[in-house]
Amino acid sequence: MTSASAAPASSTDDARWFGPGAERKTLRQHFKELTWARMLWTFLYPARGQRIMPTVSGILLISVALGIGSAAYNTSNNILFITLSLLLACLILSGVLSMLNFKKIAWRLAPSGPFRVGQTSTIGIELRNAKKILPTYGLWFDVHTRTEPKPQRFVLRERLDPQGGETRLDWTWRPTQRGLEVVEIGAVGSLFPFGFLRKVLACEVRAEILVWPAPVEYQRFASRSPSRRQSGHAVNRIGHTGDLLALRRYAQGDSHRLIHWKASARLRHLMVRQFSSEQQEGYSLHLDSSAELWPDETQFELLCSFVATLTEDLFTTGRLGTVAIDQGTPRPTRSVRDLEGFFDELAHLKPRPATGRPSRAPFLSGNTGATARSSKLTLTFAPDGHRGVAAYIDGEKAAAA
Amino acid sequence: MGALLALLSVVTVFFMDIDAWLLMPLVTVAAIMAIVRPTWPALLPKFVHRLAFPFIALAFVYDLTSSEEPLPALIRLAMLLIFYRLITYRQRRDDLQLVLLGLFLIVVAGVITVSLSFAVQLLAFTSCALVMLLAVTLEHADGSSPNAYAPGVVPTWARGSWRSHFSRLRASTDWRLAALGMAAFGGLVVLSGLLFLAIPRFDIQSSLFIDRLISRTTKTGFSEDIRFGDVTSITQDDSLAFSVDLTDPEALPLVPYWRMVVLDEYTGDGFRLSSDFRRSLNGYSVPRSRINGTNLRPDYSAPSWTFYMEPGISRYLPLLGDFYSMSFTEPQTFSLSSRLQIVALQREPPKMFAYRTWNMETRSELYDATFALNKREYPRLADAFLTLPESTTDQDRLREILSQVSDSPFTDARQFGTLAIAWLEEMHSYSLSSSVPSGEGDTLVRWLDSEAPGHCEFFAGSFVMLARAAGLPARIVTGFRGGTWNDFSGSFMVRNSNAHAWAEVFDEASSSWIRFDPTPGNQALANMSDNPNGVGSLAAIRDQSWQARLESLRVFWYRRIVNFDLQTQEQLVSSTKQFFQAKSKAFIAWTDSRMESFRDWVTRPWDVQRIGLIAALIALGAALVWIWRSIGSRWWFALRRTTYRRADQDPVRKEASRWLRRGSRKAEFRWPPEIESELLRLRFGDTATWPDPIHVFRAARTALKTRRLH
Repeated sequence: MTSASAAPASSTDDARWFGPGAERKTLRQHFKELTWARMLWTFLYPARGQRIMPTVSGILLISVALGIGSAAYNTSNNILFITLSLLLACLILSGVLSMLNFKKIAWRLAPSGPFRVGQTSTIGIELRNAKKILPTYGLWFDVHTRTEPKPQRFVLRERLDPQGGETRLDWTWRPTQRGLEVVEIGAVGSLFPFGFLRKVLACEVRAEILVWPAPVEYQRFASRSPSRRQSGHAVNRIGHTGDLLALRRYAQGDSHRLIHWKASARLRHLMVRQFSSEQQEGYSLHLDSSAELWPDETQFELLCSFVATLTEDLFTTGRLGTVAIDQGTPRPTRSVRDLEGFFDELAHLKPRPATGRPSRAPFLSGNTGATARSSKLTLTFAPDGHRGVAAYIDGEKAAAA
Repeated sequence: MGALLALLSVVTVFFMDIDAWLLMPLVTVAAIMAIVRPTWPALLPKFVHRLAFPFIALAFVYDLTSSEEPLPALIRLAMLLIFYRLITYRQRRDDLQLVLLGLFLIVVAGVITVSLSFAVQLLAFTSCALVMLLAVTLEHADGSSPNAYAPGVVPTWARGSWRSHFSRLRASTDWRLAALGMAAFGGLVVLSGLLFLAIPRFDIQSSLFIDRLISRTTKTGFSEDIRFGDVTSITQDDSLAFSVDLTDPEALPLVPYWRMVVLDEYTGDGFRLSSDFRRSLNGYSVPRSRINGTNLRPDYSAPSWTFYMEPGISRYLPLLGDFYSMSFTEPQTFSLSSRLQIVALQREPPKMFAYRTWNMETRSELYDATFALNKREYPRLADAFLTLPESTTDQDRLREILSQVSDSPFTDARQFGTLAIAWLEEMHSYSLSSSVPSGEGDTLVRWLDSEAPGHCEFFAGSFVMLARAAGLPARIVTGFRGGTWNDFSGSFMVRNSNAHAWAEVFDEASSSWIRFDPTPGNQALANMSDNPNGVGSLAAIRDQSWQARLESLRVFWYRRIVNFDLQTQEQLVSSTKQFFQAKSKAFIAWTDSRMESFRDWVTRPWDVQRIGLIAALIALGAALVWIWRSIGSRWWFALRRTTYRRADQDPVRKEASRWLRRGSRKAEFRWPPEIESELLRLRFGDTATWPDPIHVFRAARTALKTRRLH
């Protein structure tokens, strides 16, 4: 029916609502759309995407009604006709109350990222009741993901008040696979009010979620550290401390605080202040994802997780300079957004098909690449045995996972 | 709720006259315990649950084989199952089972008793069942059914107190839901009523049903063998015996005598139907829905009488006299005695029994040409109505007493009746507690010989004996005398307290049985019953008490619900159609006449007075509009602002929001900045900084209209 995608960590305020109450219509619009034929047909036949099935108690009620009805016709006994009419009225009332329960209800998926493999995160189902008077009870949502197709059911156990009352059902979810994940509300249903009828609305509300690699434990080895670190020159955040060297053009990821407004106004493009600390060298991380180097899928997954963990740790301690994947240009990682962009890349990363050219694996034996040549602290990765992954700083093994 | 359902359903067994005196208190106690101490089912040992169903099955088989009545055995089985469900913690399916068992008991009770209480019980049961199902649905909203509780385990909900349950209920229930619940239940009742009227009826007339599967005992004494005091004991009961609907209430006699059983044979301590008559009454025909009476020819202008007889009265149907035809709601096995002019069903109806008669005779004389002819041709055939006490001493004493009534021989039955009644009134007074002097001889003769007071059976019996001693064929009749007119239901109600006995004496001159009511004070009114005076002159017997109101409900129940059939449904459809046709015609006629008068008014010559009137009306309208705009709307906002609770419900803010929305909907429209800022201030700003809302809204309207004009 409908589909939507939501960014993993983006705000959900602008996310669309779905369901019967998603579109707020005026009374005039309702009357415009309302025709006798449509109204009667709606009562007789469920709308498209709706499914109304009797439950066990509903089947029982219908069977009892049939039995009493046949007995009533067989005997012309009005007591039985009264009972029959009461049972039928119960069935009709159940349908009407169920219809009212769903009326003007809207829902949407609200994933609260970030999502990392093996870490629990929350996916919320936000509900809104736009009815004027009546509350809503007992809705359930069947939610499934691409990797876990078996739906999980979430139940609204509290009262959802009218006049725009909102609530949220949280699903604590632990992703199992890196990459693009799809979370979908397959169906919304209810047994309200008496459990005779199971009304289900197929909705297919989807949210696409990017799952970052899992954090892994790794072992560090004693190795050469950046020379300036050894000199005791502490770096909190690259580009933020040190002497002012010059002005340069704004690049994506630069802090807005660094913008030199006067110079920007004079030159008619954004200029930022360049500090001496920006020239300091952090680690230049380079990842070679060639399939030749990483033939084993499990080992490749471990590589992604290891890279993500190491990158995060280096960023946290302010020692991450640039990151690059395969032949890509090394990008400075100055802000959280840069780091998240790199994680997004890692989430999508697949072994690069073999090109016939030698892989960048020789990094582990020395500085041969262009990036490595420009930096003395190049962090590269290579298989460590059949299962492990090792990180090398300028060819020297520095950590292993 | 489950315990309440069980209580409601088990109450129905009281009405069914089923032998379940052990089970009823058992289920009641279990239900009360389930409400008061919900933890006690956990105390039951495991073997009870294991042995429960084998025990119940064995008990049912034994009950079925020993009682040989399937329906009572089924009812007792249902009660046992309900009992077991009350002493265990129920799952969702067990709740359903409880509802079904309760419904079974209520429906069976309703079919058997056809009483108004069925409707009340069914409604109460339905409301409880729906509330219980709602609670179960909300608790298991995902449709899951939790595992059964192990024996000895107390569920969490059972540990809490009633106070905590109620506080949770109050927290989860909204007043809107409660109001919706009540409205929904009202709607349910109305809807089921409409469905009841609308469900198409087909007259299949298969007569086998569960009310035949249960035997009932007669509660009252209108049978073919009556001892002195039987009828009088019925008068102690003030409940309704039957009610009568008349198409023409004017046909109702002043004091109707409802004949049920006619008894000819004197037994010494009462009267009974002689074997000859009994044989003729027991010759039942095949079940039929309609019979024809005797003696009378059809009179299509004559009124019809519809009787609704309560269960447990008698198998003899109360009638005023002979009739042209009689019909039943469903085929009946019955016999009609043309000699006694009574109708007897094969068995006493176990539920309310309805029948209708056409052209029924209401006079105090019953024309019987056959008896007159037989008496002349075969005098021995009249002997049944001339038998006296067997003892010759008693017969002699009876004749002596007769001589006290009159020295000279009686010329006809009327003369005898007048004299005998006068003599009885002189010698005996009326009393419900009669005492016959002890001694030898026949009871009636001893009573006649004394001055002891007596009840109607003694008076009627003595009168019959005296008539027979005088050589006049006489018989005793039991039934009901009188009744009250219920103003609320528009029907005639006869109670058990109207039970009575009187006499009929054959008059050769008119070839008729003449009714005599020798009970003191009654004969005068009995004679008046020949003249149908109608309800107009029955102010004295009009009943406007609360009991009459309740009984009118019962009559409504019988008349409109229980007796509703295909014919009534067709009449209902027809009358509904006629009603709407008549109303639409009346509306069209009214509109036409208004239009016509308006046209006349317009085309009439215009004068200063008329022009002035119109000008005054226009001025009045304008004044009203001005008052509303200047004061009324301000007052209306002030009034509404006293009742809102949340800030976003403030009527002024809502109105400002409405105007802003209207503006945003219009293509290429922009509010003038000052109006927009004032509207925004009204919508979001502090109330202390508000401009005058009425002025702002008026300006907004003008701005929008101006835009429209452009």
